[in-house]
Amino acid sequence: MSSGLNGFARQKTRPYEMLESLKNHPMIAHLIKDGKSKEYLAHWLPEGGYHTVPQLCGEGFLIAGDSAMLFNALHREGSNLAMTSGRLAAETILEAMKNNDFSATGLKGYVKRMQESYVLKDLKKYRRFPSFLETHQELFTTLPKAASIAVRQMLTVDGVPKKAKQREVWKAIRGQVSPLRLLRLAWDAWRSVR
Amino acid sequence: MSVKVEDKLFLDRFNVDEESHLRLLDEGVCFDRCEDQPCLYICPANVYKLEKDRISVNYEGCLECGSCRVSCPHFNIEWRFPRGGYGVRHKFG
Repeated sequence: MSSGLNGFARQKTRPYEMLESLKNHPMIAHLIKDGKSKEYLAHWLPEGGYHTVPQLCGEGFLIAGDSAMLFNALHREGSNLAMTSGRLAAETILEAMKNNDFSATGLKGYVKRMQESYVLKDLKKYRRFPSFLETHQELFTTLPKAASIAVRQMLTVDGVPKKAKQREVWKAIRGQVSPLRLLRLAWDAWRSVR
Repeated sequence: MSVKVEDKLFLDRFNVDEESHLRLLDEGVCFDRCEDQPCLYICPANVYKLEKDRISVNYEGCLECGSCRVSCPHFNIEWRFPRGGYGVRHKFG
């Protein structure tokens, strides 16, 4: 499970309470019924994206993995980016050893390797995604609730015509998020992943 | 729902240093200027607890995630990793 900082500090939800409520959710509970907790840990994911990737190499150093913000927030990928950047770093270092040049220029091949691999290509593709999440809080609050209400409405067999239900659902969503805001959301969403 | 974080922390091993690796730079700030006090809610190990007239830092159970540091609106938490050999130890993750 992973979660954004702003939301849950404001709601005064403690992370371990969130974890526990997820584990108790009827969709999850039976899957982990006889499971036992082995360990408890906490870690941050660097979701900054392409625009926050630091300078990747300099005098005698290369940066790979989490430290280099190599994390794909949309696909929840990170280990693969860490491993590939590690391999590319190793290749660069081998090259540097051959030339006996560990200066910033000698290590510059790392940046080129990264740009040519899927690592920076993917991050670049989704460069707008982190700010999309940040500027649309309703993605984490009102919209999941609305979706849940909508599905419940539509899948409940109670003799009410679907059209009437649809109207109700729309009304509920519009009450929470203005249509203009929804349009903006859809536009930003498309732009952030295309 | 009440969840006891102690039960979770019990799963981990800690080698506790004598001195805290976390420090509130100015304790006054937490009461005079900090409305939300996010450290009380954000910490997955419940390190920060509200006492009568101050916030206590129970660094012994710190999971070293850094949430308090980034969530403190006043940059009032001096955050360091524990000295080498100290702090939380994980077997699986």
